[in-house]
Amino acid sequence: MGFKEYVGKRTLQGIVTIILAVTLNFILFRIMPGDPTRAVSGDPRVDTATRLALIAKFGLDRPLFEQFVLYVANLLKGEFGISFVQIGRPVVSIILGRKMINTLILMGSSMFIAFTLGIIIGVFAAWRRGTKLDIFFTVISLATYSMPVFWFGMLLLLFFSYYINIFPIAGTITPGVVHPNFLAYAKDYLHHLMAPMITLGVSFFGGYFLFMRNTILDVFTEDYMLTARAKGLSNRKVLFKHAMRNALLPMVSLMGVHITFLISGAVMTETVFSWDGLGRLIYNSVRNNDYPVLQGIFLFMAVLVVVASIIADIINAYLDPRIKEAVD
Amino acid sequence: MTVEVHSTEPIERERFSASIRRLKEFWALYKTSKIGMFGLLLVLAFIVIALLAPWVAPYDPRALVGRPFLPPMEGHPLGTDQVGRDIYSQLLWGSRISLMVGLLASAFSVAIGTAIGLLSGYFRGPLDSILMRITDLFITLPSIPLMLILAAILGRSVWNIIFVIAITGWTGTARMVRAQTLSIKERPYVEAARSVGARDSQIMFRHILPNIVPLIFANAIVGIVNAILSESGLSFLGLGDPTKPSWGLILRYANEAGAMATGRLWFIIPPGVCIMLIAIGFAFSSYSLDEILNPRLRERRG
Amino acid sequence: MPVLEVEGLVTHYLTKQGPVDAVSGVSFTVDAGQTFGLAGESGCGKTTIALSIMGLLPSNGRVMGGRIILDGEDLLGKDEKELREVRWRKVSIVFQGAMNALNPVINVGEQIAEVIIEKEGVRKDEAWNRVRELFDLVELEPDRVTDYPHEFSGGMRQRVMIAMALANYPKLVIADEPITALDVIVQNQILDLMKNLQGRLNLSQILITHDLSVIAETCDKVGIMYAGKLMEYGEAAPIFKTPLHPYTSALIGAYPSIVGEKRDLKFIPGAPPNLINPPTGCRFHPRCPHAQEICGQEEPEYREESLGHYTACHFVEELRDTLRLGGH
Repeated sequence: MGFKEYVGKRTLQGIVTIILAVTLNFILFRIMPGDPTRAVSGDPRVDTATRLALIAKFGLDRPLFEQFVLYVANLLKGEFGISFVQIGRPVVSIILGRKMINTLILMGSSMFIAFTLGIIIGVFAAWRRGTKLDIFFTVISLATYSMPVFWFGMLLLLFFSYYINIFPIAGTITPGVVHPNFLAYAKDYLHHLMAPMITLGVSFFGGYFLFMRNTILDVFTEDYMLTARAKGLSNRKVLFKHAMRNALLPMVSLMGVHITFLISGAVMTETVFSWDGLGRLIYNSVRNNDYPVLQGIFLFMAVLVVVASIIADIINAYLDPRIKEAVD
Repeated sequence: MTVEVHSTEPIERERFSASIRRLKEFWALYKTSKIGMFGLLLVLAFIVIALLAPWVAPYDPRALVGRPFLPPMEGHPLGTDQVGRDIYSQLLWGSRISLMVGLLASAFSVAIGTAIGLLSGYFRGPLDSILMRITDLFITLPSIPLMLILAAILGRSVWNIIFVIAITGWTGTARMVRAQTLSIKERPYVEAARSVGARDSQIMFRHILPNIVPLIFANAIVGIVNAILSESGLSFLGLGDPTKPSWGLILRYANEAGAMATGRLWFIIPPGVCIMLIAIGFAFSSYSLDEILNPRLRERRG
Repeated sequence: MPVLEVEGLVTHYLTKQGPVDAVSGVSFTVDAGQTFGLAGESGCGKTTIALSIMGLLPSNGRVMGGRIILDGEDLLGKDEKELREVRWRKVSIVFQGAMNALNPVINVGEQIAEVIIEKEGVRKDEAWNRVRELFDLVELEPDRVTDYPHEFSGGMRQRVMIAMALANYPKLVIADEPITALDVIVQNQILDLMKNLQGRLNLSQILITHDLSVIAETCDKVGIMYAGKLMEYGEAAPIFKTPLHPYTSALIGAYPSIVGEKRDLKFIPGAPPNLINPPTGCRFHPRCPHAQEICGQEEPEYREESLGHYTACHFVEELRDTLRLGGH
């Protein structure tokens, strides 16, 4: 099949998965024991008008299947429900706003650092297998892999905020301060971003490093690597042109799947550092039983993951000439 | 021409002693790996601690036995937490939770994954497609948010945590088992078995499964690491059983009581070190296991 | 001056069970414009010789002694960097099973052009022009230079490998089982191509194969290897007409001849020996139908029996006539 057909097929698969995710989302919150939406109707925090509006909007008094249809219809209208906690505020506005940007910045920067460092050092470690460099990073990677993300964040705070004051203790910006211009604001923001980004980045570095190292070692056993060496090409060419291009392919697919772990890591990190993002929102919503918000975030993340993995697979197909031509 | 087998006993006995022999060879090989032995040592140490906790711990981990925030001192080797419970006792008892959740959650997740992978790979067709779609779905679902939501809905108990971790962790095993099943299915001895008239269940359990067991086992060990880390994460976020002392829970209290801002080292460091050590123990063991079982790695060494 | 002089080459592989005596004192020369055929069963050390010349032994391989003089330069005295200069410019290699010897994610033209650009400093467009010329030379369509390896059939990939080996117009090309993995018709095509090219470009070649009929067709000189040692060496015609070593004779007898009278195919019973503990005396004696007691005790001297025709056997004179008639 051609490339375009592959893209189409993959996208279709993604859509199917999203549909399943939507259904799962619905089931989780409506069918589970102690149906939370029904609980709202009896929740004293909710005033009558809202309660009636909710019942109407989500058809809480109608049979389950009708509720589902209504639910999907509402979703397509961009209507994700109303927060239980922030009374009256639509879930969509809570999610798609400041918090989302904060989380995306945190996740994006950490992933970028972890990935870039991971593959470059991974390649060198595989090349210089058994040397101090290799052993050092392998040990570090195994250690950080075994370390809970949140604990690493706590240690960072303990040593670099309490003992040596490099990092701020919490938040995205220093509370109460008004910044004269964007540059000052950005500086403060970045200052606050450092610790959580390092935490999340370090915890992911290990995985990428080890995977790249192992993949390259596998590639080294391939015949075409012997050919590359036989041609007398420079080490740089052999490593980065011949070996890495082959090793990057599985890496890209891996990253698509990794988004889920990144999200989990973000939840932990944001909780420790009080980073005002979606992760912390999840945590607080769980505490306050704010189910509509949870549903909304869950769906948002499911879509994010599906999109990311589709993109990863498409990039993989584009880079690997064999897939472009291959029949499934 | 039919072959009459009067008794399978001698064959069974032979297969059994062959397995024993292979296990012995495997152990001899494993013993040579320093990393593997170190990992195994850690794991055994924690198992011993977990078993002996009730007798070795100086206090009831849930009892208030001193003033809050006591530093390490006589009677309290690691001090007390924010309400006055002995941290050292909590650590010892916490090993039980970590091990229990780690082992059970991983076992269940591997069981689910193997079942799905085996059925999917063996029967193929529509069953395969459906199961693979479901697997894809579970892969794309972000695990911690899903765990959070499920744990929030189902309530806070250890068994719910085990269930939640198992339900989100089986996908890797499923894919691996399916791939292996697909390839083993094509092998000559499977075809031979089928032509002699072996039933599907027989083929799956006697021919395919035994060949995958080592890989499943390796997967399970990795799963234990993830399960332990997930459990500590969930406890940290407040979804564990608040009545059961878990290392993650201790860290949650530390976080909420502002231990970082007040420099209470003994509150923060020991629980994390325990989590790390037990995870490293299993991770190292799995590393060695992988070296032995993965033929490509062996090729690289030579 | 000969293009290649190998004198007393000794190569070991270091293993847990002890050193494997893979090449045990082998000497031969290749003159300009000549094809030297190195024949023997698998595992007799032919490929090891090729790798030793190119300096591409695996990490546990070591050249323990001897000299390799290529175009007047001592290869064994060179370090990796110097060897890289020599590779492909002076000597190149065509591997067996070119399926995997080409990098799957880089197009074939690029794989050839890179070695022209890097080793000769040629400009990109000039390099690609040469790639197209090379394609023409090996009878491939020049338009296909941007295709990927998987888009070619086995025979065509082998042509690509040959084109690639010729890219820097080396003095010597080593072909290690170049046609073994191909079907018979394609084999002949490739053989014809190689003969053709050698004539046109005045190449020197080392042709490594276990197929004596191929050697008979194409080689000027022959070396018959067994268990790491040369059993017989000299010009091709005399060796085939009057083989002096029982192993040579057995090898010749093992190949069916389409022309000529039908006779029973004689195969050589037994298997090649373990080279960690090679047999005492003559290494072939356990399988030799003419072996006597002395063969197991004393290693026969490697001697020039007639002009340029060397062999090592205790009973050269006694067996001379028997072997000529193809008998055992």
